Amino acid sequence: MLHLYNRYSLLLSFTIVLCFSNTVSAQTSKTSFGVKIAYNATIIYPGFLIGVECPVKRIVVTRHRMNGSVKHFDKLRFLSADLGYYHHRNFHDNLYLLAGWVMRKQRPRGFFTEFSPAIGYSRTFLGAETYHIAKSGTITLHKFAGYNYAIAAIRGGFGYAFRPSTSAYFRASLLTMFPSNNLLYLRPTLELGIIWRPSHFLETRPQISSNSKGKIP
Amino acid sequence: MKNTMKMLFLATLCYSCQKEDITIGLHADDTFYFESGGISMRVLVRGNTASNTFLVLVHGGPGSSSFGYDTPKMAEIVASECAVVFYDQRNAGASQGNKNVANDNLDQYADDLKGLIKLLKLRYGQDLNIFLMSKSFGGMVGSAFMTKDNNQDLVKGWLFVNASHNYGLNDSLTHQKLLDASREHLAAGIKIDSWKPIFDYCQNNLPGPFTAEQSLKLNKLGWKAQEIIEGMEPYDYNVIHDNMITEDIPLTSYYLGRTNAGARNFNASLTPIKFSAELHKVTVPVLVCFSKLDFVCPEGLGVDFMSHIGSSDKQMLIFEKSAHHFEEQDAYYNAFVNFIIRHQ
Repeated sequence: MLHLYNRYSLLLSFTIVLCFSNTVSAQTSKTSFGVKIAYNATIIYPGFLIGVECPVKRIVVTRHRMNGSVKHFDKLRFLSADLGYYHHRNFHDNLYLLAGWVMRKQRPRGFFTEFSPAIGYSRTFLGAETYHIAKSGTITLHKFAGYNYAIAAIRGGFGYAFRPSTSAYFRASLLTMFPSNNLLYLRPTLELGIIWRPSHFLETRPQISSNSKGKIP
Repeated sequence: MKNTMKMLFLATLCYSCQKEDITIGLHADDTFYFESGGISMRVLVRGNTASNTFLVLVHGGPGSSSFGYDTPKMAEIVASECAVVFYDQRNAGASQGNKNVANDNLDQYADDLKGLIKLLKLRYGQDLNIFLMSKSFGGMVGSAFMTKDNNQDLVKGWLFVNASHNYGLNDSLTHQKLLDASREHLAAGIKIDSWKPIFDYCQNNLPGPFTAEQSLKLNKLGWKAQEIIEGMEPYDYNVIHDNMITEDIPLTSYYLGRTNAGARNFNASLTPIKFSAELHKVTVPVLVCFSKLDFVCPEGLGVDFMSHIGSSDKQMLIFEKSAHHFEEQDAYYNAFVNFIIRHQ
């Protein structure tokens, strides 16, 4: 049952990503998916995160300022699918899958900031051997004990695209897992990683539009 | 992708490899979990397991955790003589699980404790000398456990320390102690701004069967009174802060457990529970420790406990410069050790 649940969560996440990538195939050149690899630490507890981000939309914004200067930046929108993991000694190991919506603002020089809500599924593995005590009093060692949780995350960070295909980024997340102990469990995490956009990798056609703000003097 | 997922899954499982970790020695440090009634509760066994004597700490709350008891003095005085079992009750500390509201009752807490003792015997030997130490709300758990069936046969002795076995009586005693102390301080003109709200609340909420809300309020005022009362031995430990990294304390779980418990219906359900009339069933040796300056579990609870307990081997100690924590740590822990050595 658990394996099925796992499999369905995976399928669902990737189906969402792929569906969206098809529906927005509209106007311009193809863009590859981004591949994300990060060190995913929960303060001092190590982990990793791998994921993909599917470009959905690019809005080229031009802002005219009162002093006559012009500012350009891109608003980029992605659908993301991430597999995260962290190890908290003696507490638990957590393997989680998140499907998210990434809102990124990228400046011409490559600096970007982003905000991303996400939802998904988490499976924890308790941090030490676990015994199951039945109502009858029978005690058995429970291998791979842990719990399934729904998970929601809000994430925000910044980064720098030092090549057209490669960016480094830092992101802070707050994971909310529920139901946990009759309520919820909160977990802050920090990611430090790279986003690599290999050529011709799962290409899609993001919708491109432009937006001009402010009065032209 | 499928293979990658499999690899990651296997790597995770290997990383969190769950072989049994059982230490018999002078400096054991074993962590394990036990799953009972839908929750997995964390257990840390620390100290002298070779002594064959285990002191199980039944912490307060509900929703507090055993992390707070793991002080250097506890290690130095108690864990050198016997193994100390720090366990987090359901929905507290590092315990983990999903929804378990149906099992959030005192009877289940007692079953959890029984399960833990059986597990300790399974891991460390059937001939273990087990002692219980109930603190605060742990007194309710201890009373539920000790008065049920023949559970007391599993333990050699019971340390009842700054604990409650009767929430109704607890509220009345806290109310009276707050009223007396606030009246005395106001008359003497000492810390009037701090004592006046306490006095006003107690004057406006006269004793009777207190509601769950009144009970919580009295508890909060009890803590407040302990912050402003004079004559207490300084307590130097901020255990959670000091041990946060070294003990891998899951901070959010710890704090959510504490705040969550206050709001839970379970806390309200405890208000009418009284074990005074059932304590005559308990015949194992008991050590009763209370503090003169404890407003949360006043010493009157100890007097009631002593008058109802069925044990013939019973002793009550009063600590003059302590409140609800073990402020006079040396005195408390030496009393624990002396009692354990005498009865193991």
